[in-house]
Amino acid sequence: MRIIIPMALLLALAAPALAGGPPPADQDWPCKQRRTGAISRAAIWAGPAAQGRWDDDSEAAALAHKLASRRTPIEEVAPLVDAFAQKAGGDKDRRLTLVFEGTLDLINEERDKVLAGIARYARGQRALAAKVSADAEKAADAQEKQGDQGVDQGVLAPETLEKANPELKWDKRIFNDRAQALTYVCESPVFLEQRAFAIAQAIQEKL
Amino acid sequence: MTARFALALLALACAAAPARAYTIYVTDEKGNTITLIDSDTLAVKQTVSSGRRPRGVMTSPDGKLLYVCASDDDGIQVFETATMKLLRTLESGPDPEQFTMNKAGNLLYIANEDNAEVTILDVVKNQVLANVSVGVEPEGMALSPDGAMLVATSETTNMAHFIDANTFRRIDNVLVDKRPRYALFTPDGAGVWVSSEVGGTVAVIDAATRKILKKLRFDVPGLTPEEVQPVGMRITRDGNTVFVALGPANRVAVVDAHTFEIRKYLLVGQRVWHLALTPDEKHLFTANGNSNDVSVIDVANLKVIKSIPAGAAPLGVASSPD
Repeated sequence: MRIIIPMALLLALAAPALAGGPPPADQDWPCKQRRTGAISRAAIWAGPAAQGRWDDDSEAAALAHKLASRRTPIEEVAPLVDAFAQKAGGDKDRRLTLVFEGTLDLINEERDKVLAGIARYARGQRALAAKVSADAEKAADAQEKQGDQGVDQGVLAPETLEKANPELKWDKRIFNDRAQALTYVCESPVFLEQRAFAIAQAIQEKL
Repeated sequence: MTARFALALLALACAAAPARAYTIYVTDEKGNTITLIDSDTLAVKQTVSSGRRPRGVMTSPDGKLLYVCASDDDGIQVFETATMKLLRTLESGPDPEQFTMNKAGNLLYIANEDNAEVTILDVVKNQVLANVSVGVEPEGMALSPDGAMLVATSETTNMAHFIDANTFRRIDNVLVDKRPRYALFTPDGAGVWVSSEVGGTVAVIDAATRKILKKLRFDVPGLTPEEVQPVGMRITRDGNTVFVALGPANRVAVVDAHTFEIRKYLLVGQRVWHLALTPDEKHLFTANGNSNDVSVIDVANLKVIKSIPAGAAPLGVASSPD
């Protein structure tokens, strides 16, 4: 009994994160989607290769910052690109390519931070699951000792354990809330990928 | 008129015939809709509400019914294609994801992701004939052209399970690369292609011996191996060409089915999941989950000719039959 309760708790807690399967190979990656590194140029760009550095062209760099920022609504991307293209005249393709390069670098930078955040989240959940398991084991130990002293074994039910150990209940709740947020957490890099793709499309249309 | 001349005339007549308009059905996981596209005008004809998280989609062989896996509603919805009215919801078992149907149109073979089972459902009687246990998280489902063999892939166990479609007994398991998601029989029934999303490969399995004949890899220039995630596949009726959707590579690979040479990578929308060929094989449609559109490929010229918005996170796509 002493072993069974904490194990059952741990399994119940871990289940939402693992979606029914065995633990993923990368323990710091809780998402169903495969972890991918930076978004490759070739994944979203069929235009020419960049000539020069994007941050050497201050106007291109300013536009790249503006496009990459999530504060800029996606509907504003096409008109901004259009205005830049008209101003660039004969040098349009080369400079629009620099805008794309800059945007992709900036979005990849932000996406890197998001990925690191997901890894931190996964480590937090693992630590919490271990803590809940250890607390439950401790609580069960204590109650079993009481059982040895003639107290009814029925008190080992998980609800009774939680009642006697409020911290256990809280940790479990935090874990479950976070597990429910997992889908959203895992979607956050996708929003950035979508943005990069949409901007690349808008720029390519002007080449 | 010699027979040969008659044949030549017939061929000419066929070549000159205008393209038939098919209906393309697209499910979107997050919008809970089915988008209907006219394959001739390439315009959206209608958008219909579906159950929650619609994924697998196909028409009955006569084209009169449309089956949709409503994964989060644990059922398969049946629409009448003429009116797009929901006729009924079939008891599929929990979380149906992909399925296939026999030629007679009375049996559905469903992969139930949550309970590691393949459900064989008589759609006329709305009655489960059998549940076959397979590996964890079954997904891809394919029936051999002669209807005798069923293949299910299990995403977590990493196997292609071969099931006798008459006795519903599992007869063999073939270990493939990580997260197999789609299975496809060649038209002659001799080969089974299985795509592995995380492994980044496609295994070509001899259906008779269940040995892997070839493992295809996709080196798309400029992409990292992790970005190449093969999912949906389609094969031309002559068995010569296989199209493989490569997920976040945003590409469809065009593969020679005999030499396994990759003829071309076509840049389509973002995160391409599943594919549908019109029966005349003029167009290939791709459901792109992140760019929320469908790309249209001109099959003869292997060119992407259009993007059509199709709800939120499109995943499944099917064409009406001839």
